[in-house]
Amino acid sequence: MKEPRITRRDFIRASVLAAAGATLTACAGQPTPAPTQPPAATAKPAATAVPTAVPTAVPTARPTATAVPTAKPAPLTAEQLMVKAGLPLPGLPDQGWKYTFPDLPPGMPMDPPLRITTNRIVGSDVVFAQGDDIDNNPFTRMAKALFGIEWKHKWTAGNWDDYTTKWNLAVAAKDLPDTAIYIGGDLLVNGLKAGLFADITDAYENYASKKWVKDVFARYGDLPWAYARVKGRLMGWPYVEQAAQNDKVMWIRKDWLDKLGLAVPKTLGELYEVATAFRKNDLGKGAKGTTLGIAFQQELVSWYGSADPIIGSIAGTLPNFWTKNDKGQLENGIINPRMKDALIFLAKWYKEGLLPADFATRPTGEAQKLVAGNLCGIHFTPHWDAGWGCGESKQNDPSAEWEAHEIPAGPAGKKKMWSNPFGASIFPLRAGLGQAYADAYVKQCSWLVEFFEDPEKLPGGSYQIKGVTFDIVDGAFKPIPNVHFPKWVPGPILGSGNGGVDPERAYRHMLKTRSWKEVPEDKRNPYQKFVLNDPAGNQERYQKAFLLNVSVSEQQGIKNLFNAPPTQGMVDFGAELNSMWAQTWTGIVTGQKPASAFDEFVVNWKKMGGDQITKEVNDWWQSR
Amino acid sequence: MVEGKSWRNRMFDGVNYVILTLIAFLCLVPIIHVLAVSLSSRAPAMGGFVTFWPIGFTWENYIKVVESVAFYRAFLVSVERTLLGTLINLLIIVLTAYPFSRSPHEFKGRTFLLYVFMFAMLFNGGLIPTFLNVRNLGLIDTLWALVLPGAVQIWSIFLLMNFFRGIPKEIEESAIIDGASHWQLLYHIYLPLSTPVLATLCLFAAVGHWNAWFDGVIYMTKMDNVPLQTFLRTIVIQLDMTRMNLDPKDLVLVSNRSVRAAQIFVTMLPILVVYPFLQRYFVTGIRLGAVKG
Repeated sequence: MKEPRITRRDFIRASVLAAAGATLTACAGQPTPAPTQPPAATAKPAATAVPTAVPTAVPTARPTATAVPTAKPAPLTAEQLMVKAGLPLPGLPDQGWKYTFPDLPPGMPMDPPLRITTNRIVGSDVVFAQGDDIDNNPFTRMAKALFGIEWKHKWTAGNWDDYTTKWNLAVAAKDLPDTAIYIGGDLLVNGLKAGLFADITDAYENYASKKWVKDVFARYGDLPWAYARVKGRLMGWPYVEQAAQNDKVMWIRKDWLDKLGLAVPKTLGELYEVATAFRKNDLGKGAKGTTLGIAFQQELVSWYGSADPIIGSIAGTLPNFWTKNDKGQLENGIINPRMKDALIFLAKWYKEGLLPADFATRPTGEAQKLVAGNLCGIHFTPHWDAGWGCGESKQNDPSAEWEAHEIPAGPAGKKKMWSNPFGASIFPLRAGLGQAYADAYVKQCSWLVEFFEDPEKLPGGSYQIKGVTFDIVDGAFKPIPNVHFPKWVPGPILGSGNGGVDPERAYRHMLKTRSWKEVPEDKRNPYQKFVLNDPAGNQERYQKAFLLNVSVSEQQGIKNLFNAPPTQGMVDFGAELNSMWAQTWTGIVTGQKPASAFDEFVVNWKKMGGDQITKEVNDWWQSR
Repeated sequence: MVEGKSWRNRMFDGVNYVILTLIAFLCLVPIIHVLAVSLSSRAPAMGGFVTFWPIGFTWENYIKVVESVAFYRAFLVSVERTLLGTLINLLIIVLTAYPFSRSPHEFKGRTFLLYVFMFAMLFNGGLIPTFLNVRNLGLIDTLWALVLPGAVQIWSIFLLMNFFRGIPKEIEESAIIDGASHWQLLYHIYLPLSTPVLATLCLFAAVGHWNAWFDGVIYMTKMDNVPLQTFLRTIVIQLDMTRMNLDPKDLVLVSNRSVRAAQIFVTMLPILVVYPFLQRYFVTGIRLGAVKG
């Protein structure tokens, strides 16, 4: 532990010099936290004045500081601070692959550094370079150099269940980390009730970037703060996913269509014909007669092999989505009369063997096997399946040509689930920490947003360090597998790899990387060459599907208008109502129940607490 | 009485053998399937084509497992805790069971202490108080947190106590006449006569330690310190996209069924290897009892 010693020495030198400066000049030296006047400015010239600590990279600051102590030297830029701390700069600056660091937040880096403890989930996706670990890696070193924040993980867990257990134990032991990740559901409701979380409103108002944070959130109205705002105060930072992250496209086997001379289906009727043709001709790779119409699984609306484009296009709403009915009131799509038509439609598919016979017991993730195993030629899954199910399908059957298309239209037009990028969990700070922590936290978030969401500053949307995340082999960029910078970042920005502020950040980055195609081949830097090299076409397939998804998301998406923690009625009756619904719809689809069972269900649903929930939801809607 | 077996008897035996073989095979099926998947290449495993024979045979998955530092570290923690934990468990079981097997006449207060143990067996402190206690003792993040809270296995103590009491008094008395102390009695008379039950208790303790995951979750703050079964939960647990959005790029990584299968198989291996050796003692134990009977 050499670092603290150096810091302390620096600090003593800083204070001595600051005191000397204060006696010499009346104007400078007061560590007042005015946003325009960085308080650390007094410490910085002192630090740079220590000859041993200054590498040659900061030639301008030193003479100014030593020669004229009264004049305030310009604070070091982020890049200079990185160099000073001996940290590698990202990319290959000498080969035209440059990153632009945004200006540092006021008062940063803090000296002495502020230690913030946190927690997180460490799955098999979190990989460190040789010699690094969760508390000492390129990000934590960068945070210390640029922000003066020392990140320390109080505890980590392997998965969500374990995380919840550990969180509850930490609450009981009154030993919470300073910040926490993804607090939602019960943890959020109970935590707010017990007053565990700090109010970060002032820090947010003072230090969140207007352009990169506040203006972006403002575009989305109530949604960003649906869970974090309590009585007008912000009790944490929201978690924001990508736009259209879980919107479905219709993936279809182009080679199968060509083989049978069929066109891409535009309506549900045509979809039925194509699916039937695929099945009749038994194009799948499984045993004889096992070809399916579409991939399907036990939950109607889910993230793989989902039925939401079919149900949405028939009913115009979705189960457990609260949408406006004819009277302008919120109503759960579960009891919409047109839902019955959707179930009848699916029952017909099931009867004719177009849905997997075992769908009722097939978990969502297992629907991917149907695609990877080439048992179906159509499925409704987000754009990101290009490299997963569709990619593995191609490995098992090289002739597989998956294409992403718009979902087919039904009686209600083209309607599918709109995936809300604003998650139902927040990133809180522990109550009683003090303003310095909230300020530092918000400043770091705000800076990271500006850096990581601006395609002009971060080429390709990816932070790459030579020797850590990539190597140069024979002049070509070669990624080091599984090592990703964002995985090391605590907090809501980047976080486990894809948190941020603007839901459209990935879209912007993608447009930028696509524009690199216009750079002449001999002018491209190694990273651009690597990104644009796509022999298997996986990336092009992914990008086309993503662009399609983003372009139709607003127009075709069905939005769930209820975005708040569960109401009392949902807590009391929700589980029972949902299991009743699950039984009804699987019963109808598998043909074990007549379609009239749906009408009966609607009556029961209202009686068994549904009416109360509806009232609560509408009360919430009015009171917003 | 071999000739006395009627055809009905033989028929009955035959049917029994067939049924029991089938049941034994049913137990083996999942293991064979996991083994087959672990030796298959990625794409067929993902497609669900592999049943009992690997497709696209490869050692690659095992190489990945062995190369994974995190897995290796967790494996080591598990081995350490199993060895140390079993040793401590058995030591305490033997040293507690012996005095308890004495008569109340010899061991004053035995009955009261027995009730104390019985109480502790039936009621425990509950999750949070136990956690707080372990935490206040400063055991968090040490191997001792996995070993000490479960060190006294009361049920096993009672089992061994009852076994000790079943050993004929005459043997003990003969040793006492020869001038044996309690330590000598325990070491020369009781322990050699109880190898079968000790082997069983040893297996219980070892399997218990090897399979335990929950203490790893609550007492370890770093993934570096967790035992294998806790570590496995990071990879075996089902993909759940409803609770958090994974980066699509990670799906490929997280969902690698063949590597997961290899990890699971490596985890099963030590117990599979240890079991036949301990089973030898079970058989001896049965024979021992039969001769004496």
